[in-house]
Amino acid sequence: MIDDEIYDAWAPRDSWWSPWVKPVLFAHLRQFAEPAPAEDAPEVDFSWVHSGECVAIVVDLPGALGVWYGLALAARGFRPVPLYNAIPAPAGEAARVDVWPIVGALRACAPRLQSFVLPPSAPPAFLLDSNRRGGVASLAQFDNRSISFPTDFPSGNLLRSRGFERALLVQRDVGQPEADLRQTLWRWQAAGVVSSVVAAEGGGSQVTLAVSKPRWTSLALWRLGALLGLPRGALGGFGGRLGGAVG
Amino acid sequence: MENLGGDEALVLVAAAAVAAVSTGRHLVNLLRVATRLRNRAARVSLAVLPLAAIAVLHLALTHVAAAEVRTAPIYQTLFEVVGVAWLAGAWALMPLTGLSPRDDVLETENPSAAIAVGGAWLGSFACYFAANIGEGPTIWTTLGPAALATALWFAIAVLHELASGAAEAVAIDRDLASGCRLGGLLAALGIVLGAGAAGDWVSAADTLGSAEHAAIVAAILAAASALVHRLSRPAPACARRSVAAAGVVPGTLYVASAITWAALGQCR
Repeated sequence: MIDDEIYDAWAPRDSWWSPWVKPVLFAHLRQFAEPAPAEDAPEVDFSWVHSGECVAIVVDLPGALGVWYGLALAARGFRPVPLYNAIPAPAGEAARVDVWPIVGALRACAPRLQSFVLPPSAPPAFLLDSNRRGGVASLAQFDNRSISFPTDFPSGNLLRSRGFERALLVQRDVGQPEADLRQTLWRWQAAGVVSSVVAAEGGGSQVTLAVSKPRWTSLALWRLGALLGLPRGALGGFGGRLGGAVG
Repeated sequence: MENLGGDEALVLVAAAAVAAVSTGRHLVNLLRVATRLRNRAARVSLAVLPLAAIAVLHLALTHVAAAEVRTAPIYQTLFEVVGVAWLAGAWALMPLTGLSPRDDVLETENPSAAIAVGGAWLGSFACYFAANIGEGPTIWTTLGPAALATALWFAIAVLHELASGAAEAVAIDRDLASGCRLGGLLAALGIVLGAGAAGDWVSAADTLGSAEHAAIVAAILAAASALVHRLSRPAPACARRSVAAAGVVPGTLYVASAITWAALGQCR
């Protein structure tokens, strides 16, 4: 598949959710020279979700695992929506967050994703890298930590108008969502979308989330505060060397 | 350059540096950032808007600016270069209003944000544009009122956002009607505040009085807009309002009201 076909597989023109797909990693597909990873869809008990169920899923798992999880959800009627927003480090450089495996997984999963016949209205499964805000604290000169914004997701109003009154957060553990994600889930909650959390490999028991109002609820204030210290990439997304952005 | 005073030459050089860097960065952003997204119309509009703004500014500088500016190309160049820098400053500070040109327009498929950002860009520039109209003894009698009007524009835009959450409806709900309303309001605020900065220079006190007068009108307009937004913002039962009835009509009304107020000579 050529790069445009891979992007179209993840963001088909007719899908309700394609306008939310982040194109950042797709701009680096050509640079991913390694063979497709041997990893495959995780062996997970998906009994907690029914095929085509009217629930918006947010997969917040580390690295490429989220992509493979998204592919497994696509087989169950969900439309995976990649929201990865960190750019990979240039060749030979160490990065705070290694996103090359995600690039590889996006490429490797595209043919199988394209083979699924999903309707435009297929419920969404938003894919995030749970390492996005931290990564490996090292001497890496390339800082590509990132955050997700409420603007990265459809609004609670839109979800409810399309019949989605439930959201399901898939994490490593059943705990509180990441601080940046809380901004989104709180807004969804305010609009009447109830969120639950489920552990990715925990047997499927769901815990309802009561998201408390974040300290900074104004979008402008939250953005300004959150963006301080995070380098932006010249091609979009987050990432740059100390002292200058890198495309 | 020899016709310029020391401070004028300094302003020209500084503005030229800002304009050159920001123009280059803007072009790179338009051509390279997240180009896989299907938002070509938004990119084109963000390329055309500043060109159109500077072209209209040129007409003002050659027809309705101070006599010394109308007859001296070096002054026209000075104010045009400062105009480019003004556009760059407005772009950089726009996230204060809840709208991020880069995040909401270039890195997202969000036509609503493109319209609102376009209106904001024109509105903030209108403050500078209008300050170039009329006679004044120095460049500071243009730049001072322009800076005051622009600062008031940002202040009222921020207060409007805190009161209404309109930018959230644009950036998060991606509601086209909200984008049209907000774009219209932000442009209208610029017209009103710009009218307060336009005209012949009399004194600092007169300038402040005129700006205060315009700010009151702009605040009333913003309050009305916040109320309209509260009544017609997206809701779970109706996430998408009629673009014409809830967006284009109120947005046009804001702009028409502002133009009418300015044309009736409520400025100094």
